[in-house]
Amino acid sequence: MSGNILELKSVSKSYGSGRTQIEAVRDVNLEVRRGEIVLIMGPSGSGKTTMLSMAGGLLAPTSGEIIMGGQPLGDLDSRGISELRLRHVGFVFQAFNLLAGLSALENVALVMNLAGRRDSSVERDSKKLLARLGLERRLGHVPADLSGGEKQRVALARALANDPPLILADEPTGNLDSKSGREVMDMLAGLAREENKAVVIVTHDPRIVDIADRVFWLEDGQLSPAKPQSIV
Amino acid sequence: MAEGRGDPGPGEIVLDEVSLQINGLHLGDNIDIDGQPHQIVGASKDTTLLVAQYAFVDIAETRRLLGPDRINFLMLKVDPAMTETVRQQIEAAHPELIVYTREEFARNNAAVISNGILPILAVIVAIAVVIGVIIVGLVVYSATVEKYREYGVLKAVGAGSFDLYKIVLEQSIISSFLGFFAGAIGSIGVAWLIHKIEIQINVVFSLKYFASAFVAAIFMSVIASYIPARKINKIDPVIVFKA
Repeated sequence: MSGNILELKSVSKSYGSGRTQIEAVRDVNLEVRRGEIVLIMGPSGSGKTTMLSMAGGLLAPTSGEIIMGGQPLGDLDSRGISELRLRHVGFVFQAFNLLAGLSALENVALVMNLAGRRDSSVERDSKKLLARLGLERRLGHVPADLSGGEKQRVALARALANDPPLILADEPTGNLDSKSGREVMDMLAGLAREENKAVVIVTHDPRIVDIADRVFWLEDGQLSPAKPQSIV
Repeated sequence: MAEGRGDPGPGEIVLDEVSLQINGLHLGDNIDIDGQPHQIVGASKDTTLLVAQYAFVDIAETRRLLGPDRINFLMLKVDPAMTETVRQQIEAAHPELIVYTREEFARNNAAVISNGILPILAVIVAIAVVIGVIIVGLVVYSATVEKYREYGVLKAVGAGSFDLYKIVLEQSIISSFLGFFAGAIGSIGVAWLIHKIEIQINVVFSLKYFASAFVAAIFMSVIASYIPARKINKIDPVIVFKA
């Protein structure tokens, strides 16, 4: 065991074949440890989302190896990857992706249910989590009745529901105004540091650079440590 | 007996309650048989066929009215232990007659229905099952397509294929249950209406029929969830990253 929560070793991903082949991610190496917040920045189409999808086990790399919690994903079948994702990773999406027919509380509890928890502690823990994110008065509200910032906070609670050691966030401030975006990012950073979680955020929002421990720049599928001028 | 007496004497008759209703007759009224008036003294129950109803008169009266040659069959009530003896005696005395036991008679009637009506009903039931599967399948398929992205989200956060199949199957079973209950209530309502319009048609329901329909509904929901389940299996969870 290396102690890394997430490792990407020489990971590449290409789409298509022959002349139409596009290499979205090229030979990426990345190690993420517990308690650190890693920011991956880059222009649109640079391969950020492809890289995050692979890091979360949603997409298989064309070559290279991804190790999550010491477990190489290539050794697992789709069921094993789903199981690992359920307990090991929390996702935060740009479009929130909350289930429209469920309340804030139910959206969080559902993920606990999927992990096999069915007892009364599910409701208690979901309420506690939402309360920590300032949503104690919005428990019964469906996503349509919540503001963008509130939706993203519910999504954050859902990501934390099974207490995963790794949070992967895709443009988490992309659909939020600057104030809400800042609030959500401060909450995410606070929770991650408090609970010693690793966070990988892909974004092109330079305003959240200050919460990161390390910042990388991804361009044309190649990852490199970010230089201040590239962030600006 | 629905009403009145069941032992008509000379000059009396018992009619089926449906006959009374169809013909606007009542107990105490007189009807003519071969020009001879007979008073209605009773109304029998469950003695109607689809196109005809039984009437009951005293046997001596029957012979007097119709003559011995106009009787086409007789039903005899005998001690079960004596059935075979009585049968042999009748056959010996009247070789021109065919004698059936109660079981044979019932079997012959059942065979007539089985050969004549059941194949048609079987085809209708088969068509109904296929239509049921298609309707439940379409309902569940539409619900699946409508929630395509949400299934993708569930898949992305770690729901296994089995979890998603369970959701689809639950939806399918709920649709079938609703269809079953609506169908059961509708059937009872339609049967009541038909009986009101055509009193001689009396649809009989039993718990066994409802139980069979219920099992069929479960079966249909399992079949109907197959295609939506396959569609869910093919959802690429990466769709969750598309804004």
